[in-house]
Amino acid sequence: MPGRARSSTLLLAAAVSLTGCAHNAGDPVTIAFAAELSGAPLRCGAPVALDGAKVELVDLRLYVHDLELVDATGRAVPVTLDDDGAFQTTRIALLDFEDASGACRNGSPQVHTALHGRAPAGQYVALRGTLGVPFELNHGDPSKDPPPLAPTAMQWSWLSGHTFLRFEAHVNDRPVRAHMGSEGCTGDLGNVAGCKFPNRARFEAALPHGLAEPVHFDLAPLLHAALAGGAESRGCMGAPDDPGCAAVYDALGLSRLDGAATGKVHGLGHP
Amino acid sequence: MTRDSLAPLVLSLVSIGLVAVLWSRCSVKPDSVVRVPPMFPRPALPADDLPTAAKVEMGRRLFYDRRLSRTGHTACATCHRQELAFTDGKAHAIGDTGEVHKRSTMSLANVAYAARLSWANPLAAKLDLQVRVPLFTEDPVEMGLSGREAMIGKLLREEPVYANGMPLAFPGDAAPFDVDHLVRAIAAFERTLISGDSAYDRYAHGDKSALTPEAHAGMDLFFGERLECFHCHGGFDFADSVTQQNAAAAQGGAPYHNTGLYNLGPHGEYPVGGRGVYEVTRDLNDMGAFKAPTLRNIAITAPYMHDGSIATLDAVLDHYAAGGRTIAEGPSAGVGSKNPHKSDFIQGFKLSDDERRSVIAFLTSLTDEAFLHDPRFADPWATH
Repeated sequence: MPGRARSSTLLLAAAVSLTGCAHNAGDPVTIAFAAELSGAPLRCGAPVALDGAKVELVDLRLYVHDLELVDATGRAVPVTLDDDGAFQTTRIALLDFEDASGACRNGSPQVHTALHGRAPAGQYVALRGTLGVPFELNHGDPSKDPPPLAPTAMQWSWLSGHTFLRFEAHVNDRPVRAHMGSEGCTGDLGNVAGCKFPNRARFEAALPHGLAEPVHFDLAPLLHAALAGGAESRGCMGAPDDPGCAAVYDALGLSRLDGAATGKVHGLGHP
Repeated sequence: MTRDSLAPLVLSLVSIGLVAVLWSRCSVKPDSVVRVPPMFPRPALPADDLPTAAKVEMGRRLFYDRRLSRTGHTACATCHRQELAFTDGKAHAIGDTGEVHKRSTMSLANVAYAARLSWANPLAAKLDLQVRVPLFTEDPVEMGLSGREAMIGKLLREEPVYANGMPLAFPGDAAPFDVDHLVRAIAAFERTLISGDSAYDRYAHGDKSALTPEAHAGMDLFFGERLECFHCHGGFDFADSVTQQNAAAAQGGAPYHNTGLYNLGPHGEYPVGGRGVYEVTRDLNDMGAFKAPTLRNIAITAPYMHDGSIATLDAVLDHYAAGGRTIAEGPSAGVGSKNPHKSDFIQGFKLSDDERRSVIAFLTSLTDEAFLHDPRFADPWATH
């Protein structure tokens, strides 16, 4: 069995590198994202009003992978990311909207809100992708993770793997969090066999102006979901049986029964 | 040169060789730092990361260093206090930023033998990876260092004790000033925390006067089929999630048990946030399943159970005698003895007052005063 697993890994690696070569022939693309709260820019140190409440960003980081651009005929082409040794490998990227200023004091000064990669030239009307880290990259030895996966703020030390999405805010100074990652995993840390709740959300963002305009990420749906657990709740840390998580699973289009992506991420892309 | 004059030369060559052999073995053999009591098996130490004196010293420094926390007020030792067998005497640990933990601090005694770490995490088999949890976890915040690896690196490079000591602890590693080396050093120190010199151990090693008649009677009850204690709290560590160098002899188990502490709903629910292995595996069969902790030093590690919800050993015996705890009212109300996931060994028993005193006397004989006061485990910064 180990031999078979290894040879299929090699085959997979070969396939990835072949397709990787093919994509390198594509044109450079930049996919910018803009974090917002009901249309207002959401950034550290700049509180905004929502339904009469003062909302202050504390953290916003997320992993995306397997990005595809879709043209008007519905044809989808993969985006091969540039490996920049920091925020991106060819397959995954860490989108980092916090700059450690204001209430984002647990963060880092560097931000990464625009992805760089290559894709065939074309007129694209939508961006599709997965929010999270692929299973085969998610559960390795944390001390050997590649740069985008290395920040401790994005490692789920207890449950193994990574925090796919880390959104935190102060709403009228009340801390609210929405964290999501794989749950119900079995095996050993560094050698996980599988997870009952993969919790990898799918998103599809319409691009009415192609890639000339950033992809809008409105955090209002997620914030409302994180607040839905009631005054005692501080939001959701991923647990499917936590009452504070119910609406967060819904807002991410995730099934609370098995963590499958049954819908789309609310707010990511034009409605 | 005569045969006689050759002999000392041969002898000295042989002894040089012997010293060299011993030296090379000593450099990888951890006996000097991980002291194994006579009745204990050897612990399973990581072959590629054996504890050395230099590594253990760094781990001990780090274990007691309050700068390893968000506010600078919390060290590992804040919740793991030597005089309390590396627990904190609280029902719920308090994190660096004041957040209240859902669990009670576990003892670190004999953690080198633990097949799985923490109360209920079947994923946590490696001690160095477990060390990351209190450092970085955020639900609740324990030491609060998530996202602060730059600060950790700065401390390791700028504090002379680490700047000089970490390269000695990790010879051959160019820059051992990161999280990986930090957690390995702390794990090395923790592997030296071996407790096996209690009155019970002296008795088991041949000193028949070491146990009082009362404790001896309690031992017979403890190891008897009426109370069934030893099924989960058996072996040299009075625990069943145990491994050792000869892993086959350890039977390789990492069991967890529901003891009927709660029963809130049709699936034998425990309170959210305290549901045991279920919260890792999300398998209902794991509802309320927790590790049977070591009973070594148990008399001084109150309060008891994963959530500190039982204050005394006497009340713990009530819980097991009833075959599970009944809570009459409030949000945790329920008949624990009817929990569908309860261990078969929790069937309840009757215990006379004398017998109860005997069992508690036996449990008290597991306290290892030498361990609680061993200067090798004490705060190294305090001696400056």
